[in-house]
Amino acid sequence: MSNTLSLFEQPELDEHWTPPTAQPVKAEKALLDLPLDHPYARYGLAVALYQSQLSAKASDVAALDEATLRAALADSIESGLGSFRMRTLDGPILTRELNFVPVRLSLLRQDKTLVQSSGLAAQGIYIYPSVLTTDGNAKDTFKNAELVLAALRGDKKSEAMQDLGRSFAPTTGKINNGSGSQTPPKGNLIEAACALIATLTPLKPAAWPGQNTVIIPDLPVAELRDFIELFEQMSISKIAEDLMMAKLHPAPKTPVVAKKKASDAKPKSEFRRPRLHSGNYPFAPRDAGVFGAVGLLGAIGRWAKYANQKERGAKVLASLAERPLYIVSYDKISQARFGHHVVQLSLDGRLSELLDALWQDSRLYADIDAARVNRQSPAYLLFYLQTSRWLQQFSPASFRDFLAARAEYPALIEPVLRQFFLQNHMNIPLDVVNSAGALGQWLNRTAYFVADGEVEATASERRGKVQKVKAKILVEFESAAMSAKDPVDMLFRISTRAGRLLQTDMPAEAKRFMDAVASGEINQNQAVWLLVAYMRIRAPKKETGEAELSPIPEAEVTTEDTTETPLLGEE
Amino acid sequence: MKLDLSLLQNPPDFSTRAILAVEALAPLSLVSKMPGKYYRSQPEPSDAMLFGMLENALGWHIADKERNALLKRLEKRHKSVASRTGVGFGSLLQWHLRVAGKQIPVSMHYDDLWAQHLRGSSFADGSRNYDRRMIPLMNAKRAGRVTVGDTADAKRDLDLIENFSDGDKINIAILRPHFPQYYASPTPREYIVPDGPFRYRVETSAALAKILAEAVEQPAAPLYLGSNDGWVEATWEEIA
Repeated sequence: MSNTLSLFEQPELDEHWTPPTAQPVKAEKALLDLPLDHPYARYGLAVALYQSQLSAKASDVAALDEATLRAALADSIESGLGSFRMRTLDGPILTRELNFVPVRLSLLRQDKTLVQSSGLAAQGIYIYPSVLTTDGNAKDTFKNAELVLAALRGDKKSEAMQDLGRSFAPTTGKINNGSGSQTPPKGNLIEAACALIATLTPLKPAAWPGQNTVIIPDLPVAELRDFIELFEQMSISKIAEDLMMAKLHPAPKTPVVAKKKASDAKPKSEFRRPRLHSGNYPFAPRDAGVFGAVGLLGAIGRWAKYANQKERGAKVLASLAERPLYIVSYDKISQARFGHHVVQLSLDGRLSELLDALWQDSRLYADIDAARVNRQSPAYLLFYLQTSRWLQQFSPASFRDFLAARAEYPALIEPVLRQFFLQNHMNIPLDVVNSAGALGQWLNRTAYFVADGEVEATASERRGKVQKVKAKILVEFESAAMSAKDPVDMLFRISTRAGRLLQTDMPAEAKRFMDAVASGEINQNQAVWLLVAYMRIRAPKKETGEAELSPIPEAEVTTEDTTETPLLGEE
Repeated sequence: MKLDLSLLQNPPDFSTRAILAVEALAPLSLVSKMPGKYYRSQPEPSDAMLFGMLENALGWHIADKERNALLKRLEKRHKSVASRTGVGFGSLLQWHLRVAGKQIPVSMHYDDLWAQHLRGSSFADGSRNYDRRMIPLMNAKRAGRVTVGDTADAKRDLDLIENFSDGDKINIAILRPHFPQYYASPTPREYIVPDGPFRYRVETSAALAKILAEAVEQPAAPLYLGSNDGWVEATWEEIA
C-alpha cells in the first residue's frame, strides 16, 4: 500500500465529521449607526473623514469614536458653508474679466439677504454649482445647515431622529409612511449631517446646466475617499486657476442705448457666471451638462496625464468603472455607468480631446454650410447625448444610435472608433478595420474633389457650397450601402457609384475589406457601420492629399501605388 | 387566527445550519434609506428584509400594534433592544436567526418609474376610479375651466357637482364623498436585476429550522423582497 493518498481515495471515516457551528462573519458593524447604505450620505461621510484626515478603512470606520466623528462632521459642514455663495468685487464697467471670491460665512450669518433674496444673481452673487439647491431653496439649506451644526456641537444625541428635508437630502420627499398624512422620512442626526455635507461640499464634480447638477459615485467609503482626494488635487492644481474667472465680451465702442420696450421688466444683468459653473474641475468640456459623466471621466484621465499621476488616475478610474454614477440635481436624479474601456481612453487623454473636438468641430450634415451653428439646438443635444452614451457603453446598440445622426466627425475620433471595432462586441480584425478606414477616407476625399470641381470657382461662399455638395455625395454613398440586400450587393453598389461619380478605381488598400465582406468574414451590419463611420471622418486640417491621422501601431497597410497618399500610416 | 409563537420564547440556539437561496423572478428594488423623491436600491437585501420574507412565508402577518407589543415582550425576555427598520418594522425572528455567510450576485442597476401610492387630503387627481357623477366636473377641471382647492373663497355649494359653470372655484370638501383621497404618483425608482441567486448560510435552532423549511417549501403568501412586485423564489436546504 502506497504511502501517498491519491485524490480519489478517501479515508473511510466511522462517523461523519460535522464542522462546528461557525461564528457569524460579523460585518464591520460600527459602534455608531453610520449611514453607509445610501451613496449620498456615504459621500458626505467620506468627505468628513478626508477633511479631518481620519482613516476610511472599514475597520477604522467601525471603531470611530462618537466625539471625533461629530467634530469631523461639524467641521466639514462649516467648510462647506464657506463655499456657498460667490461674488465679484470687479465691476463689468471697469474691467472685462471678473474675478470671483467666496462670500465668507461670517458675512452670510450677519446679512441673511446674501443667502437668498431676489436679484442676487443680477448683482453677480451666485450660488456655487456644487451646492445642491436652487435659488428659491438656498435659505432652507442654510437654515438646516446651521441647525444641524448647532445640534452636532451641542448636546443632541446622535441617535435622535429628525426630519430629512429636500433642501439637504434631495432623494427624500414627503410620503405616507403608514400614516394618514404625508410626512418627511426620518433619519438620525449623523445621517442628516452626512447628507448635509454631501449637499454643501465643493469637493464633488458639479456644473450648472440651468440648475446645479452634481455627480455622486457609488463606491465603498475607502475608495470614495481616494476619489475625493484626487478630485481636490484636481481642483486646486495650477491649471484650475482660471475657473473662478468670467471673461465678458469686449465692451461696445459706443455705448448702445437699447430701446426700452414696455415689456422689459428689468434690464439684463451685466454679470456673467465664472467658468466654474460649466464644470468645477480642470479640463471640463465646454458645456459640462451636454456630455454628462463622460466629461468628468475624460477630465480625470487628462489631468492624471498632465500632472504625472497616471497610476492614481488609473486606480480611481478603475474603481469607478461599472459602478453607478448618480447625476443629482434638485429636480431630477438619474444614473449612468461606463465600461472598462473608458479607463484607457481617458488615461491617454483621447477622451477629453475628443469631447472638445466634438463640441467645436463636428457638424451635422444639415448645418454643414451654415456660418454658425447653435450647439444647444435639440438636434445637436440629441447627437451629443447619443455620443456620450456610446462612449460610456461601447455597445452595438449605442453605436447604432450614434450613427443615426448624420454628422461630420473630427479626426480625433479615429482611434476611438478603431478601438470600438477591435473590441469584444465587434471583434473585427485589425487589418480589416484599417482597410475599411482607407476606403472610407478615400471616398471622403474624392467626394471633396468632385464637389470642388462642380462648384464654380467664383461662387460666393464657395467653401460652404462645396461642403454641402460633398455632404450630398457622401449621403448618397451611405444610402446605397444601407439599402443593399446582401454584402456583395453592397460592394457592387458602392463600386459602381464610385466609378460613375469619381471616374477612378477603388484604392488598393480597400481590397482586404472587400474580401472580408465578400467572404462573410464580417457580416453586413459590421461592414455598413465600418464604411459609414469612416466615411464621415473629416480629413484633418486642409483637404489636401496630406493627412495626419495617427499612425496605427503594427499597421499592415502598405501602399504600393504611389499616387494614393497613405492615410493610415505606413509600415 | 392563532399563531404558535412559543418557539420565540426559547433561548437562542444556533446549532442547525441551512442554505437559504433566494432567486429573483422580477427586478427587485431594495430600498432602506432616504426614500421619497428617488428610491435607490441596495445591491443586496438587508437582514430585516430577509427575515420579513421568512415571516411572510410563515404567515406571521401581524398588525403594528400587536407586533410592537410582542417585540416589547421579546426584548424583555432576551434582554436586548430590537433592531427596527426606518419605518419601524422589527422582525420577530431576529433573536433566533442569524446570517453567517452570504454570496451576493452581480446585478444590473437601472431606473424606472414606479406607481407610488399616496394619500393626500387636498389633492383631487391621480386616480382613475371615482364616482360617475363627477365625470363632467373632472373633465372641466382637467381642461382648466374650473379650479378645485381649499382656499377660503372656494365655493361649497353641493349643487356645483352638476351645475358648475366655467371659471368657478370649487372647494375640495364637496368632492370628498365622490373622489378618493388615494392617488398614484409615478416616482423614479432604481431596480436591480441580479445575475443569479442570493445565497445565505443561516444558523438557527432545529425546531425553527424545521418549521422554516416547511414554510419556505409551501409559503403562506407569495414571497417578495423590497417592493411587493419583486417576487422571489426561495429554497431552504439544511446542511449538517
